[in-house]
Amino acid sequence: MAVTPSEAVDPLQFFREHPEECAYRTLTPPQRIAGMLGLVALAVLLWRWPAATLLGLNGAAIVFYVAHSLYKLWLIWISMSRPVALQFTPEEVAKLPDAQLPTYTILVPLYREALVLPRLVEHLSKLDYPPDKLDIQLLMEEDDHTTQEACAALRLPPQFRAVVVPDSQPKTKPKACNHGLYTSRSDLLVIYDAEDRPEPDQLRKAVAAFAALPPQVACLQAKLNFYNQRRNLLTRWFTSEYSAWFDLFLPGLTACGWPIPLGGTSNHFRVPVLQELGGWDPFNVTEDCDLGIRLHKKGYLATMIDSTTWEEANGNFLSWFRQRSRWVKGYIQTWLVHMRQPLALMRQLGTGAFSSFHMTIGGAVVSFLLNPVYWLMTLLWFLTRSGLIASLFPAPIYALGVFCLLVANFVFVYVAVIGCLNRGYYDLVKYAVLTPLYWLMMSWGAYKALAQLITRPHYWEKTDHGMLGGAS
Amino acid sequence: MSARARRLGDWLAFLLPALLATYCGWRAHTQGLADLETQAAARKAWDVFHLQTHANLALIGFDQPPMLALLHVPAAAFAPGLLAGGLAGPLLGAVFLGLSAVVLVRLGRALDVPGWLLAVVVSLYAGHPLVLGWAALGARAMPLAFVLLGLAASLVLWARSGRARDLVTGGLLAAAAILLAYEAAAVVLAAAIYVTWRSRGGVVPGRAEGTLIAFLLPAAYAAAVWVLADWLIMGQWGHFWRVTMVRALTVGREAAPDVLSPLLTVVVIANPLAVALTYAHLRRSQAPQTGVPAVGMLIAAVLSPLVFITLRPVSEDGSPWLALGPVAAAVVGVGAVLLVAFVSDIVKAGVEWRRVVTPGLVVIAVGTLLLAGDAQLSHRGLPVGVRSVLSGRPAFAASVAEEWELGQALRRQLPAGRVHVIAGSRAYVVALQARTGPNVAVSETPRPPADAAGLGLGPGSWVILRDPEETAVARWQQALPNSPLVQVGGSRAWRCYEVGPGP
Repeated sequence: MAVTPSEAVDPLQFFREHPEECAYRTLTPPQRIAGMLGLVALAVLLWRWPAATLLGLNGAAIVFYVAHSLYKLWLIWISMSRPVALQFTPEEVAKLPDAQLPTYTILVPLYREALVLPRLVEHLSKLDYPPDKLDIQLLMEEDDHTTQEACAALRLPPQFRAVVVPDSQPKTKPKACNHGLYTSRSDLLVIYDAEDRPEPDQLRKAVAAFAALPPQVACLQAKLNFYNQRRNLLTRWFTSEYSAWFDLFLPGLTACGWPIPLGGTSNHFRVPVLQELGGWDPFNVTEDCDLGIRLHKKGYLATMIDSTTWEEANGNFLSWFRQRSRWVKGYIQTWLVHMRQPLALMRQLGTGAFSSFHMTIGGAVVSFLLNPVYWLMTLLWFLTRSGLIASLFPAPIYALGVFCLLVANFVFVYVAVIGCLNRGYYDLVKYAVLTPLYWLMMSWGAYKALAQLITRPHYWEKTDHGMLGGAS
Repeated sequence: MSARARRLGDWLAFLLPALLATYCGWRAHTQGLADLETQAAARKAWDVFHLQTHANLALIGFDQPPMLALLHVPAAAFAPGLLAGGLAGPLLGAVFLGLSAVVLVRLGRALDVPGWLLAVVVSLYAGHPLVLGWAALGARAMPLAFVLLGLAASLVLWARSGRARDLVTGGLLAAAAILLAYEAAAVVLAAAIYVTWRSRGGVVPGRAEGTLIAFLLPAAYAAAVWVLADWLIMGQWGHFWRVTMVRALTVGREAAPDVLSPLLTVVVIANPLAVALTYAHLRRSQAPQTGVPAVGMLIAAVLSPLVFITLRPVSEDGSPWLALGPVAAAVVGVGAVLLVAFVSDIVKAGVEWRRVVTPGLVVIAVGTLLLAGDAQLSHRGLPVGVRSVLSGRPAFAASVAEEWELGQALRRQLPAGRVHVIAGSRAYVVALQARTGPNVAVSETPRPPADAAGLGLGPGSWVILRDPEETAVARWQQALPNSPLVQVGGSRAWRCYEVGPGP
């Protein structure tokens, strides 16, 4: 099959139409000025009143930790208390008549994915949906000849379409997805990654859910999990993290009606809404997370659906590290973009969702960055009993700090355990106990992300797929 | 039932018992009655923030399971006046009583127990003279009864639904139980055995192992932190255990030559239905036995004193209630869960209720009720009745009016810039009221420590002793050979001595 560049669409349409929501510029001039003023003020305070300033910073950090811990625990408790994700029995799904099913576009952005392409086609072909109502777009970059050749060598079923995205900067997944979105004529749309194995009835479940939900619900996020979870210690940790995130934390957010940072794959959309929003920000390296916030700002909701897409867990440390640093960089980008006009954001989201945005997006980054500081401080305290460290912890701060050290840290380990337990991954429970080592890696990734945000803000750290073979 | 009605029911279940306990606690407080152990725990929490320049959690001490003092730590940080006034404990007790009632209501609702029957069970629990008394005083047994009740309820719910949330809740409560009373380890062990048994088999790899780890992880973590703290602070891994044993063996041990008889008394008096409920859930039967997960816990709690009796000092009058307090808490708390489960079984059985309420069960229930009644009539029953608790005189309350008065006087009169000592069995109560700082050493024994010279006592220092025997005063005098001790004040039980100038 011949693969040729597809029809011309403007890949930067989002940037041109919504520059105020685009991460093209990391910081706007007012943000730069505010940041500079903040740093100068901090320097002056540290110079004039070092003890009081350090005490204030420590107090703020500890209060943040407590709030962040309680926030996450609260959400997890909510999702454990009642089923949040929309559930449908196989019978209910099977009852949907084929003739009434809407047309569905599946976008699969591919970049250097020749290795996994045959399996991708095989798994997407298994989807229980009428082929004549499917438009599966394999989105390949113009300069990625290997994947194009691999695709050309395959006998693609009729519902598949090879689409070549014209070469341009930035070379990111959201830019490719926008290409597919702008040319889509379907009612619904979903994104899958190259290595994804969605449950066969996922599209039908999404159709049933969209039919049952008000039009305000514009997006359904399927749960993500891994098929190679037992490959090594890293995949086990990654699995426990994903199980807690998609099965406990995100359902908690949706139960509260707060915006969810969408996962990079298996997001099902109503196409007109997505087109109204302008699609994905091509300059944001976590465009999915950003889109979740923008949906909410425009008055739409995203919720969870009880269907799983199986992915490949990154079992190679360097590859995992690159992926993680991209995620954290994207979270910082997203936070900065939406905080360009904080008051407007608060009006658009509402107080609860606004606070949740800070805790989920900003809070995650801050805790990754702060954790090593406090681990080091704790270690130094036990080694030196330093009076300086002790002076940073007057009674109330000390009480909260002890809560964080002894209770919150444990509870976050326990959340990883619960994630495994909840999914039925009983044999992974013992590995989840070692999660603090995984946190160390996450913090390391966060610092790399921070550095890269300054040096290469739009650089997309490619995640390698197919490195670990098939299912385990 | 609508969500709103459920919320309203939960709030009522919480507020009514909590307010009742607060009322009883307030009345006890105004009569100068308090629980000595709670007052000591409050003082240790006070020490964390107010004894040294910087906060120091190690000052909760290692001579008791730490949870009771830890529960007072937030009050010490954010409401020190409430804590020093002796009211934090009773308020905590009221909260735990309210929470227990909420757990019972939610359990009953999950087990389809009609509302009016639930109201009866909750009233029996919250109106129990022991429970209400523990709550009014903020005694250790109240939070212990709550966590054991919650643990039992969690396991019953987990056995029905398999929900991770119930197992996790049980695991967290198990950790709290061990930190409240070391004896609770037996109950946790029984629960862990049940969890393993329930999750064995199946095709999922590692199911029993994973479930057990998830259940026991909080308890293991709590124990590990406690032992590690022992090592870091006291320099010995098992310091807390040695201290506990020494304390138990030296206080009134000779008054309890026998374990079995007081144990049976406590079980039958604290919960006359416990034996019958255990039998109902253990017999071979076609009837539903919803409470089975909790039965092992109850049995373990009752048998634990045979192993753990030395953990607690018996009271000076030989009464078993103090030494067997954790047993009483378990019998009442876990027993309440068994009662709810049993009522649920009867309701579910409907017209076939005779499958649940068998003749053997009736005989056992009537028998134990008669035994309890007989003990009550012969003054071997509950230490006090509910009327006594309502009038502010719960069981095990000690009159501390004198200590409070002395403490307040010391707060004003204790000479500044000197080192002082408060020694005796109620020293912590005095120290709490006096809000003493780092210049005042507090000791539970009236005898001087071996390194009394290192305390820094000198001319102008005060030595405040409770019920000082001649030997105790003489020993203090020996410890300060060059400085005469001159009595400068005192009350009925306390004597204040000032260290005079040397030759």
